[in-house]
Parts: sequence; structure tokens; C-alpha cells
Amino acid sequence: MNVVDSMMADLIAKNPAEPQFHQAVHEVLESVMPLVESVPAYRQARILERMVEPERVIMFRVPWVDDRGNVQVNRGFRVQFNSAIGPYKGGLRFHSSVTLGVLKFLGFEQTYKNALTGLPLGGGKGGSDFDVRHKSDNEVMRFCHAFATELFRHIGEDTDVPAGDLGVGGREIGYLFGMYKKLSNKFTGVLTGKGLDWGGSLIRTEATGYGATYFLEEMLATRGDGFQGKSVVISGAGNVGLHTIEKVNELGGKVVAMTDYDGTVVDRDGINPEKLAWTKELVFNRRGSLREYAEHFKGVELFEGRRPWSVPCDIAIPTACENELDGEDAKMLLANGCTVVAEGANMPSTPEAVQAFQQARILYAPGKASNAGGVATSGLEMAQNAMHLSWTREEVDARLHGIMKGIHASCVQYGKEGDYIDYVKGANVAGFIKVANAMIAQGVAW
Amino acid sequence: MRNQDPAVQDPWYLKFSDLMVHRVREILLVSTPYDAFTLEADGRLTERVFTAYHELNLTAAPRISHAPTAARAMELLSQRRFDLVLTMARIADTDVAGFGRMVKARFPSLPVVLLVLNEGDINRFPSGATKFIDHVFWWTGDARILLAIVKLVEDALNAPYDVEKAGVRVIVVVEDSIRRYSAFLSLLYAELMIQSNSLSLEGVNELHRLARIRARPKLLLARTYEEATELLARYQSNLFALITDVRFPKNGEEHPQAGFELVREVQAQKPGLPVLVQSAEPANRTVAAELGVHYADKSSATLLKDIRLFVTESLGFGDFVFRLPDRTEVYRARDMIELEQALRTVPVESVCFHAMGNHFSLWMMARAMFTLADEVRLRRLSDFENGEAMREYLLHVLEEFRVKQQEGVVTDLNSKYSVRGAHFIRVGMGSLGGKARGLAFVSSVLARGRFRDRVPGLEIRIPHSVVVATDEFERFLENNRLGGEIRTLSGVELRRRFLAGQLSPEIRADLWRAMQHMSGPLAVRSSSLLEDSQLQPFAGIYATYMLPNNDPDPEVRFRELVQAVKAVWASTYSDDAKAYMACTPYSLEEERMAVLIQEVVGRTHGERYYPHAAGVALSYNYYPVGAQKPTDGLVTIALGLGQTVVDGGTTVQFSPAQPEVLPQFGSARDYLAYSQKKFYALDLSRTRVDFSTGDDVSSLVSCTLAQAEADGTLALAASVYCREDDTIRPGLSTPGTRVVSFHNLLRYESIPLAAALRTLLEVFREGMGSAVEIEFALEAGDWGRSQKRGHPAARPVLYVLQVRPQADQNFETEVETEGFAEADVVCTSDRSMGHGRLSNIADIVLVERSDLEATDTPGIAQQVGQINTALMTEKRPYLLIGPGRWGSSDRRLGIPVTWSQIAGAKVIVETDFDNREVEPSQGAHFFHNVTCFRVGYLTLSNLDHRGTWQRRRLDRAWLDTLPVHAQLPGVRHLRLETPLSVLLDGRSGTATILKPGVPVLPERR
Repeated sequence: MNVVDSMMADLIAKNPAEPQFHQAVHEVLESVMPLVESVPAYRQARILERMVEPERVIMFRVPWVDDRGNVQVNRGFRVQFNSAIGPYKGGLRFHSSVTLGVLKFLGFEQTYKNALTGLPLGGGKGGSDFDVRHKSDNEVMRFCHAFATELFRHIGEDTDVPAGDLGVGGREIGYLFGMYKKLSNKFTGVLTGKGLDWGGSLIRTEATGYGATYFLEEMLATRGDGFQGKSVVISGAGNVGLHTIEKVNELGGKVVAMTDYDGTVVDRDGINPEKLAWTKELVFNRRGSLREYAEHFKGVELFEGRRPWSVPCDIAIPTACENELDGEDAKMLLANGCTVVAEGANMPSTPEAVQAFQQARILYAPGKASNAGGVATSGLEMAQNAMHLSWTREEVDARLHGIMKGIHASCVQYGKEGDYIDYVKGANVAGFIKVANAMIAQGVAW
Repeated sequence: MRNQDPAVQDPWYLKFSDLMVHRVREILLVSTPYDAFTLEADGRLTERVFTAYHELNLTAAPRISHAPTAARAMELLSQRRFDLVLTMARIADTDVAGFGRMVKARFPSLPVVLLVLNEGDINRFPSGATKFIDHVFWWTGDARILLAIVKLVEDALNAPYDVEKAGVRVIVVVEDSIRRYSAFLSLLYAELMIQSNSLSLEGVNELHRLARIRARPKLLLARTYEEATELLARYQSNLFALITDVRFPKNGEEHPQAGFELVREVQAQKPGLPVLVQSAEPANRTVAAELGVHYADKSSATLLKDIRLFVTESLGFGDFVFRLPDRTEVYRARDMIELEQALRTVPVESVCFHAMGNHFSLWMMARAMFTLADEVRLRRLSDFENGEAMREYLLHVLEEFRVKQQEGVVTDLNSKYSVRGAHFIRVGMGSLGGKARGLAFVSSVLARGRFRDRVPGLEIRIPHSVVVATDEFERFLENNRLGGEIRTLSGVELRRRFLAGQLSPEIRADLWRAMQHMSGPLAVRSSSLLEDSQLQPFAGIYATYMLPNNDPDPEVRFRELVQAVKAVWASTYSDDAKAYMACTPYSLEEERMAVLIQEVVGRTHGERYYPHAAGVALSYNYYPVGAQKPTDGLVTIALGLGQTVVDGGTTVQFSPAQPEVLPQFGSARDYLAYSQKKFYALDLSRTRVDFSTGDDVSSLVSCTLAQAEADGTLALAASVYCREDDTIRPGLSTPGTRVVSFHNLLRYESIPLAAALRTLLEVFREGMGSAVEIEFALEAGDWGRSQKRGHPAARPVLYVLQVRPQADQNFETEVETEGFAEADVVCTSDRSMGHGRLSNIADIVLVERSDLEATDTPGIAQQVGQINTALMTEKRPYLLIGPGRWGSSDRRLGIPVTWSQIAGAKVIVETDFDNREVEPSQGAHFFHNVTCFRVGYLTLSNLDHRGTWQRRRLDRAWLDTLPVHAQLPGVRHLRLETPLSVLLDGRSGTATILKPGVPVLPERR
């Protein structure tokens, strides 16, 4: 039995019935084991054995009263996974599917994702099996207040800084923050995702799109190239997609295709800033479909029900959803001359597609690196709160740019193999090394 | 229908229908053969009585049976029920007193009346009655005496209840002379019947007319001073008039002035009461004049004329004659409508003159408008600033009364009341049809239900409606020779033939008149006999047309309306209707079509017309989530016209018991993804509708939320999604994406819509004895607008457009859906509809992909329809499986099939899309029909994330092993050798489909 299998056997024995956690750990072990094997200090410090065990797990009862006066009981969690490089940071998820295993898996992944940003952010995750879906506003508020009355004693701006996740949006963050403030008598950056009027940061909605583009710019720079004269194809036309287009335009690129549920819109003249503004009004305010774009602007074609990967381009940026770019799509992209792919969503490329990109040795960046802009902006919100300042858009954008450059540099540092950069390996290893080195430096206190 | 709930007030016509409970229908005449011969000297007594009744337009003349002896009479009395015993003075086997005693001993409440033929008999009963004889009458030779006897007996029995129940008025007649009162009462009753009948014609419909007749004044006879004072005291509040002799017994002795003493006593208590004094002594005329009362000479040949004059002029029967103070006549009003019209123009001196004399009140009293009469009587001229103010007041109460008369009733067009103030008018004869009948019921419930108290802050009513009843449909077919061949026509040709047909001139004229006071856009809808019945709703099968009704030329508008009526008739024979009918136990020949024309609820906004919101409320929620209970019901609501809901488009759904919970919006982002983006309005720029295409929604236009915001209608329905904060902000004052949330209605209760719908669902569920479906529209009045000072704000109004029963579920048999091995199960769900077992399904139509995009679904619908047609031809029912909301016209939410494309499916399984979440369908016509045809319906959607994963699954792997009978690009038709078993438990909402050959338990009852 090899080392990974042996470790997994122990893990599974100690953490039964947590399949998502097992899966996540297994993937990381597979990718970092060669490195660990090559650094005896990691073995001696039993870094891996320590990393797969959360620093602290808090599980608590959350009783609350519903609108009919009935007492309800839910379970709350906060998995504080790793604080080697900064206070715990990770979202809260309110959903009936939440279990300890799910949160451990998410917290484990979050640790490395946060580490990659270069910001002093540890990893954590929390939540409850409370389902916001069929609750009134007042019930959600009462639950959040009840949840916060326990959580508050375990979090703080220098300890643990939760954020939103599935089932926890601006409303829930507001309620949680309100109760924290009441109990602690402090106004601090204890939660991110706050409203703009009370400590939130600008650029949050644009961050992932801008961040992916900044990352791409760095990728192109490794070839001494840039966006000028490049044609770009983007899937999706939501927050991430449209803000990616905005930044690509700024950096001199030309986006020639975008998609929504109606299909792919191809505009060979490019979706310039004026057209982008029109599209933002269409999508964000009128919530219309791109079919209207095709009807409104001359020379635009709509390919109903089709994905964009058959459109010839230099750069492809999937931002829509998971598994939207499969092996066939990847082959088509490669055949049409695409040489750069950066993910703006979580796992939009299937394993076959990733394999195709890597075999073709094009520049391919996984989502955990290129779409870290969102996480980065959370860190920037914490920074602003700590300074009791609100930065301008330009300031936040500039810092985001810097962070993405840093992430890219880390990926290159650990992913470069000759003249090829394996961003997947680079991202995995960069995050791991940072955390591992910090843990060693701090001794066996954790 | 009488209501026992004290919160519900019966309208006057229902109260009046309860009056005159006691009727004399069977008379036993006891007489010697000789006396009987005397009575029948001019013909059979029964026929003569019948004639007397007939001449007075009275119905149900009593039947007379004859007994020659007391013994025979007692025998008959014990065998049958009689309402009156009429006995002659001589009886073969006993005396009258003895006979009376015998009758009263066995039947103490049975009236016994003695009919005397001569003076001698009269002398034997000077007081007119004994302990065992209730009345003595003199046979005048005129059969009308029998009418008088019957009516007097009935009035004596009915007066106590009628007065208490409905405030019916009483005329006290004081006369001790048997001969006199026999003659007088015959005249008086005849006159009273004539006058009452003529007044009854003023009713808005037959029910009103009959009710008026029952509320006529009652006559009570007193023969002594003491009897009279007792009656006057007892009925003081309801005295209508006093008709009295002068000389009659007081304190046991004849008193020459007893009548005048009585008059003075009455005048002290009720000044102004009409009084008629009758006497044969001329000196009494002077006294009567001094007392200011009317006088009639008993012995005069003009006695009848005098009585008639008294009845018409002093009691208010007859025309209302407007006079000046000098008695100059200025106008005659024959009925309330003419009175109201005249009041606007007659000189104010005339108004004052009649007001001071209480003439208006008296006149209204004669028409049994007691409440109105009492209200008017209480207002004196001195209560008003001047005569004109009095005139205004009278006009106001008359208008209010006129409108109120028609609340909750169906006004027949031939009534003078119709058109003005009528809410619901019937044109032509025949049935109203299911839809209109439901609406008439709604109207009556709303009129009685005191909803203003139960739901303050929101007016609830139906839109103005006109119904062309079913007889005109049949007449149209016949007159235009649209016989059997039209059943073979379809589409354009069918409509062409109907549109070319002509309405009858009478109906055209009636419809023109009925439409004079309907303004604004109109909805012309089907109302067939079979629609909305308990079992077969025919929902959405027949046509509806929305007419802008805005051409400046009324002739053009009317022509378009007539075309719409014909087009609705044509839809009776449409392909969809024929396909639907084929699935019911009915035939096309049985169907009759009425047409319901309604004012469309809404307001004009430039070239758009629409209400603030419209929707459907269900008593029973088949898919409760969270804390919702099925019996809490479900409401689906949209901005603008209700077409969005009908089409199964994007709407807001909530339980009226928990309106603040919106399950479809779990997060702020869900509002972006799943809330309404467009709404329907009526396009007023189109003044014409093209009926030949059969496109019954061509007048509708899809509009954006920005347009609603510009119109000022969005504020009630929408909130703002703040992208930066990922929150929903109330109001529209902040920048951000507008999302239709209805938070103002549901969360902040700015208008008590949820409370109103809760109340209506409960009321109609009780009223119809089943779960109901209510279609409604909301006009918010001046909500959200700044008010001008001095101008009262227009209140929000909730319009009820339709009420029909929800599908009835037969839960008598027990069906077990659990306990089966996983390998034996094709599909199982704990969210299903329908009840029972199906074991004849061996065909499966499977939509293969769950990642369909909006561009794919229409093609899938066509393929499904193709397979459906083939299976229906083979008469093979099938199981249909596919993703999303079946039948939705929004192709992103589901497969947009029409009913005819899946009419052969007996079970439908709804699965999830891979790439988006869609709430299961409810409330749309399609789904409604599915449940009413008892099509089993299962959803495997995990949208509520209830965690019962094992209870909702489909064995796709097994389906993939089945032999393919037909393969289309996106749809597979599978055929089994032996059928599946489908088990549906409607009580628990669970269902299981078993593979062939799996044994099931027998049904238990």
C-alpha cells in the first residue's frame, strides 16, 4: 500500500461517513505527495497528518422560534481548519444538506485557496442545516440571531472571519453582523460580504471577472504577449462574464462571443464598451436574453442552443458553470487556434478537457487560481475594516491586480517545467507550501 | 340558500321569500247537499274560486273537498291534511258548535270558518265567532268572498312571523257586522291583490317580483274595540293603515263612537297614519273631516271606488303624483325609476310639499321597501338646509337603493332596473352557463357577506358583467343553419361560418342596451353548460377574447363585440374542444354555450391597459413545502393581466396562511433568476381584433418592468435587487434591478390581499362544498400616489373574476405505495397527485435529455404530440416522463405542450432540469385539467430540498433497457409486453410506479 493509500485508510477510519472530505483530501494528497516525499522536514513534522485534521470543530445547538410560535432546533457548525498564515477565513452555508463532512471538505479546500492569494488568510468553513428557502424574513432573522449568539464567542476580526456562501447572502450577513455587534459591543470586520453602507468593499461583484482577466494578462506576459490584437471567447453573461469582458476591453482585447441560455452570440466586430454597457443594462436591469443583443446590433449572429467553443479565438474563458467545456469542446478550441484558457468559474472544464489542454501544452489556468479574485476582495474588505477606511474603486482594483499578479507568480514558481507552466500543479503546490512552511515555523503547537 | 352564519346577512329578497309560510291549499267544505247546491248555483265552487284567483293573477288557488256530514268530515280530516274547514250553519248530523268543538279537540290549530247564507244564521252568531269558530262570514254569492276568507285566515297566521322577520306592514280593519265585513273584505282584498301585483312588476328579476308579492300588507280583522286596541298595540311599529267602522262593541256593549275614539288613540301614537272611517251615518262624515281622516259611506254605490281611492292615494299604491302645495299636478311617476328621474326636475316646492306629508315614505312602504321607507320617514324637511338639499338627499338614497337592489343578483334585461346600477345582467333566456353561474353565485355571496367588515381596507366585488344566455346559442345555430356539418369543420372555416352568421334582432337590441353602461376594455368569455362543473372543468378549452373597446364609434365597438360573441360560440366546435370532449362522458351535442362579457379590470396607461396584479387562489395546495399545509391553499400572482398565470409563466406563489414566506426565493439572487420580468397588458393601440385567426390573445402585448415603473404601477409589486450587497431592498427609490416580489402586499400588508383571499377561499369552499379555485385581479386604487387635498383616495379593489371547484379526489379506496423493493420500482415520489391504481399502462413516452435549453423545448413538445396522436388512435394510455413544468408556455420553464398534445397520458412524471430549478406547476389551466381528468401526476423535483431523497427517484437505467417502439430526436417511445402498476395515494400525496409483474395488494375500501 503506498503512502497516499495508507494515509487515506487512516483518514477514513478516523472520519467515517464523510465521503466529500475523503475525496478532497485524496486529491490534494495525490498532487502534493511527490513534494512532501522530497522534503524530509515535512515528513518529520507530519505536516500532512496535521493538515488533514481541523484545528478546531465547533458544533452547537441553535434553537429558535418560528412564526407560529413553535420551537425549532437546528445544528450549527464552525470548522476552523487552519490558521497558520492568518485568521480563519471561509463562508457560512445554510442548507439542509450541510453536515460536518461537507464543511470539513470545504474548509480543507478553502485553506489552500486562501493561501494562494498571498493574503494572510487561514481556512475555515461553517454553517447549519437550516434551510432559508421556506422561511419568512423574520424567521431567518431569528435563526441568524440565535446562530450568532453562539458563534460570536468563537469569531473575531483577528480570529475567524466568516463570509457568505450557499444560503447566506447579504440579508443573512446583515442579521449575523447585527447580533455580533450587539453582543460584542464592537464594530469590526468580523464578517465579510457586508453591505456597502456598513463596511463592505467596492469591486466585490466585479472582482472575479477582473481577477480572471488580470491573471490572464500575466499568463500572456509569460510569452511576452498581451491582450492587444487577441480575440477572446467567453461563456456566460452574468456578473463574472460581463466584468471579464469589461476588463478585457480595457486591456486591449476583443471579445467576439458570449453566451446565455438562449445560445451563443457572435459579434466579430467585438463587444466594445458601448455594446457592453448596453448588454449590462439588458442583463442586470431588464434581465433580458442575448437574443435581444443579436436583434439590436447589426452583424451579430445568434447560434441557438450552442456553446461558444467552436468560435475561433485566441483566448477562452469559461465563466458559466461546472462541466460546460468537455473534451470535444477542448479539441475544437485547440483546432481553432486557442492557446490560452483561464477558468472564471468553479471546475467548468471536465477532466478530459483539462487533459487535452495539458497535453497540448497551452496555457491553462484552473479556477482555483484564476477565479480567486472573489476571495481576494474579501481579504481587502478585512483590510479596509481594520484601517477604518473605505478605499475607492481604483484603489481596490489596483490591490486586486497586485494580488492576482502574486497568485500568478506563485503558480509559475511551483508549476514551471521547462518552458511549460503547469498552473494546476503550481496552484496546488503554492498553496500547500505556504501553509506547510508556516506550520513548521510555528512549531508543533497545532 | 339560507345562511346560518350570523356574519352573513341574507338580502331582502331572500328574507321575503320566507314570508307567507302558511298557505291555505286544501279546504274542507262541510255542508248539506242543499247548501252545497246553493253555493254552486253559478257553477262548481272550485272553478269559481280558481277563476277569482286567476283574475287577480294569483297562483295556487286552494282545492275544495266536500263532506256532507260531520262524521264524514272528521273521517277526511284524519286521512288528509286540510288548511281550512269551511262549514255551513246546518250540518246533517250535528250542530255547528258541536262540530267546531270536535274539530278543535283533534286539530286545535286548524281554522274553522262558518259561512252563513241568511239573516237567521247571522243572528245565531252575533259576535261573529265562538270558542270553536274562528270567523263567521256571509255568503255574498261572489266567489271572491272565499278569496277573502282564505287571505284573512292566511294573514292571521302569517302576520306575526312576517312582521318580525321582514317588517311587513299591517292594515287593521275594525268592523263587527258580519255582512259588512264580508262584503268589504272581498272588495278590499281584491283591490289589495291588484295593487300588489302591479307593484311587483318593478322587481329586477322574477325572484324580486315574487318576493314583493309576499311582502304585501296583511289585513287583520277586529270586531270589538278591545280586539282592535290589542292589534294596534301589538303591531304599532308596523301599522300601515286603519280602516274602521264607527259603531261597534266596546266593553261588551255597542258604542256609537267607538271608532272615533280608536282613531284619536291611534293618532296620538302614530300621527299621520292613513285612516279610513266607514259609516252609514252621515253625521260621521263631519267628525271624520275634523279628525282629518278619510271617510267612506258604507251604503254608497261608490264604496268600491272610495276604497280604491284610499288604497291608491292614501296608502301609496298607484302612481306617485307630484303636486304643488295648491294641489296642482306637475308629474306622475309610475315606478321608482320614474320617481328618481322626476325628482331631478320637479319644482322644489313640490319636493317640499311631499316631504312634509311623508308621501315619499308611504309610497315606498306600499312597495315593500320598508327599510328605505323608514329611513326617509325619519328625515324631516327641517333637517336640511333647504329644499334642494332635501332633493339631493332623496336622490342619493334612491340611487343607493337602486344599486343595492342589484347587488348580488342577476338582473333580467327586461326589468326597468337593468343597465343602470346593475352589476350582472342576463340577456336572453336559458342558462347562464357554468362560468357565469359561478360568478352570479360569487356576486350573491359578496353582497351578503359583510366583507367590508371582515376585510377592512379592501373592497371586494365582481366586474360589471353581461351574460348572453344559452338559448340564444341554439337559436343562432338554427337561424343560421349551422347544423350537423359544423362538427366536421375546424379552424378558419369554422370561424368563418360563425362570424358570417347573424344574431337575432331581439338579442342584438337587448345586447346593445345592456352594453350602454359598460365601458373600457371587455373580456368576452365562454360560459358553457359543462364548464366548471364539479367533475369536468373544461378550463382553458374554449375561447376568450379581450377587446380594447375603444373605437370612437359605438357602432364599431358593438360590431366587434358581436363578432367576439360569435367567435366564442365557434370555439364550442374547435379541435381542442372536440379532443377534450372525447375524454369525457359527454358529447358535443350536449354542450350549450352562454357568453360572459366582463369589463376588464385595470386602468389605462397610455396605450396599455392592465391591473396592478392578477392571479389564482386555490383552496388546496397539492405541493406544500416547509410549514405549509395542503389545506392552507396556494395563491399564484403576477403583475399585469392574469394571462401570465394562465400560461404557467413566471409568477410569485405563496400560501395565504403564510404570505410572508416565498419558497421559490430562497436567496436574493433567486429573485433575479426566478421572478417575473415581463407582464401582459391589453394593447389599446389595436382597435380591431382579427377573429378569423382564432388567436384569442392577439390584443395582449408583453411589456417590460420599466414600462410598469413609468406607468406608476410597479411600486406595489416590486423591490430592488442590490447587486453590491446581494440583498433585496424595499421600494424603488434605490438604484438596482427591479424584481417582482410583491413584498408590499405579502410582507408589509399594504393592502390586505392575503387576508381577503383567505376569507374568500373559506367562504366559497363552504358555499360550494368543495375546494375551489378563484381567479382574481387587484386594482390598487390610489395606493402609492400622492393625494390631492379634499379628494378622497380611491380604495383598492379586489375583483373576483371566476370561482370554480377544484378537482374532486376520490379517497374512498386505500392504496398502499410503500413497502416495495427498490429493484421493483420504476419511479416513486412523495409529491404526487391523484388517487387510485392503474394497471393498463404499457407505453412510456420519455423525454431523453434533462439539459434542455429554451430553444429545445418547443420541438420536444411537437414530438410528444406526434407520439400522443398515435397512441390515442390505438387507444393506448401511456406514462409520460420529462423535465420541467409540463404545459408551461414559458419554454424555459418546461415543455410547452397544449392539452391536445398529451391528452392520452394517464400518468405524468415531472423530473428536474439539470441546469436550472423550476417550481412545479399549479393553478394553470393545463395542470387543472390534468387533475380533473384524474391523470396521475408525480414530481421528482427536489426543489424543496426536503431531504427525502429516497422517496423521489426514477430508475433511468431500467428505462434504458426497455425495447424502443419509436425513436424521435429527443423523445423515446417504449413499449412493454405487460403493463406497469401505478399506485397513487391522494391522501398522503405519494405514488409508486412498479415494474411489470410486481404483485400489489388488493384495494381496500
